[in-house]
Amino acid sequence: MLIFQYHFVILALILCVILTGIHTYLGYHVVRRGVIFVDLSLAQVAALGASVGILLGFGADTYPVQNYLISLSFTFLGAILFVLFRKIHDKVPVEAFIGITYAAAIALSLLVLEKSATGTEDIKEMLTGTILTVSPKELGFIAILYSLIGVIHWLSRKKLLLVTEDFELAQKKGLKIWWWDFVFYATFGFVVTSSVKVAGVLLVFAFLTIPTVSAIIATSGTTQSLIFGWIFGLAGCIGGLELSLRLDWSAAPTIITVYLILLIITLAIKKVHVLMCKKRCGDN
Amino acid sequence: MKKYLFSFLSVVFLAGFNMLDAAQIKIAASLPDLASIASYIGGDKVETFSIARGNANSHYIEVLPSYMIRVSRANVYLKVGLALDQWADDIIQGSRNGKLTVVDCSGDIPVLEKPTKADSILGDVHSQGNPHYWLNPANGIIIANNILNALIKIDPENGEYYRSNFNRFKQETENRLINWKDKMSRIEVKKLIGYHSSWVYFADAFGLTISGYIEPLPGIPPTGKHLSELINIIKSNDIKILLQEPYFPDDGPKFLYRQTGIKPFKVAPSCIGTGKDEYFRHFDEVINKITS
Repeated sequence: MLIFQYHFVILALILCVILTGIHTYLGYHVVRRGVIFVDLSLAQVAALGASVGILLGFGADTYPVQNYLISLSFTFLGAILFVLFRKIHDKVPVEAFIGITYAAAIALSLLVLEKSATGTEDIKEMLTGTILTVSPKELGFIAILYSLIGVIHWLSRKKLLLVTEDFELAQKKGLKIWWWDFVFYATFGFVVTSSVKVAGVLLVFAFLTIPTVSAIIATSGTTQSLIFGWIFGLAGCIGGLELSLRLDWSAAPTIITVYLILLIITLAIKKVHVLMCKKRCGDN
Repeated sequence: MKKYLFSFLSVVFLAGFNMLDAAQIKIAASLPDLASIASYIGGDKVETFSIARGNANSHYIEVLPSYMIRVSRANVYLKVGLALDQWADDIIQGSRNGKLTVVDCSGDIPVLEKPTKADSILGDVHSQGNPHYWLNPANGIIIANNILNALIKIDPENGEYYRSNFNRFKQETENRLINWKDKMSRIEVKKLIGYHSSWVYFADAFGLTISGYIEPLPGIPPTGKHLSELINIIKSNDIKILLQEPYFPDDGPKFLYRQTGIKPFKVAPSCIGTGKDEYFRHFDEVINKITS
């Protein structure tokens, strides 16, 4: 496989494995809560934070720590906003406010970046990311950070899953909804901020939605979905990277394309399976 | 009495300044390099400013209304031409300045990398040839000549003044070029890697070759195959210098450094200020950086 021939691509592969791991899991919550736009929105808020950092003189390359912290604080503000959205209005779905936040974040990012000399290049980078050129340091940082977040989520898995899957039951059981919402969105924010930095907004969005959606189509039950999602995610990454090397295509868009193909295949197999089942069982 | 004297003197003072201001030719330029050369040729008879900043990507400039307003009050606009600053046409049109003399500074420049039919597949960023011609000091003289002709046309009274400035500029450029060539000859490996093809004329001026670019196509990140090829080129030619425009992200250059040890140098393709010495100072900066 070309992945192992172009030895530096191994780092990109490890990064993909880590990203798939966390994003498939977080994506499960996102899709079940029906807040698909949250990650695009938060990713854009994170990007806005990074742009503001640049404007304040803390470019991501020269002052990575400061820029990351500024970006993170914006994401946390966004997370708080999303928690509050539940309370704003009964008639308007939370998704609408999240979508507005997305548009607002892009608009503000553009205004901010217009004031800086590096503007256009930063905007492009936000979209496509830089997985092929990730450094061992960045990879290490992400691995450690995501492991910690993984631990937090593992320890609170029952409560978080309950709020996501059965909101009313969670309320009845007396769970502090706003707190678990915040835990979710805040850790989500951490992940999105870091992931967008290396993988770009598009790939992060794809990691969050496509494996989970395929899993929900193909399986039932939380554990089955997660495992399916992880295998799906990994297969897509490996296939995408390999294809991008063979065809000399950009990495991120190729991975997304492979995900789409796998999604279509999953849908098709499910449809066929349902049809065959109907035939067998439907006449009884 | 003192109060009135002060007011009177202030008025005379301000009026004097105003007259100076009114007499000065206002020159707008797409890039600081053109403005700097214009400052030299025009001396104290001109006032120059640049639309694009020296450290920005001059291919893509967001045209703000304030640019049009500034250009509406100018007498001359210096364009880079060769399809680099097509945004300048928007500014010039929007300025509705019927009295604006537009100078395409690429006149008489020997253009490198003129596209053949087969190249059109590569996109049209440099559809008329490589436009970064000011980075060969010899072309600076041609630019100065284009500016000189324009100034003589609109202000023939001071023609001799401008011409003598031009002759000094030509002499100074030629002297400095000898100095720069000497410094640059000390670079052992005459091959470089670039990010975007800004440095073709610079390489031509100093006997260097650019063996590869990080950016295969503008706006598209490098593919795995391209990165692998770059690594091979760098290693097999022992290339030590990578020129990176400051508005490009660091990840590609840092990656190549980790893989091959090539040293990235962040150098802007234009000078920052518009004063008469800025054009030269920019060359000093770049050359000192990469020969240190």
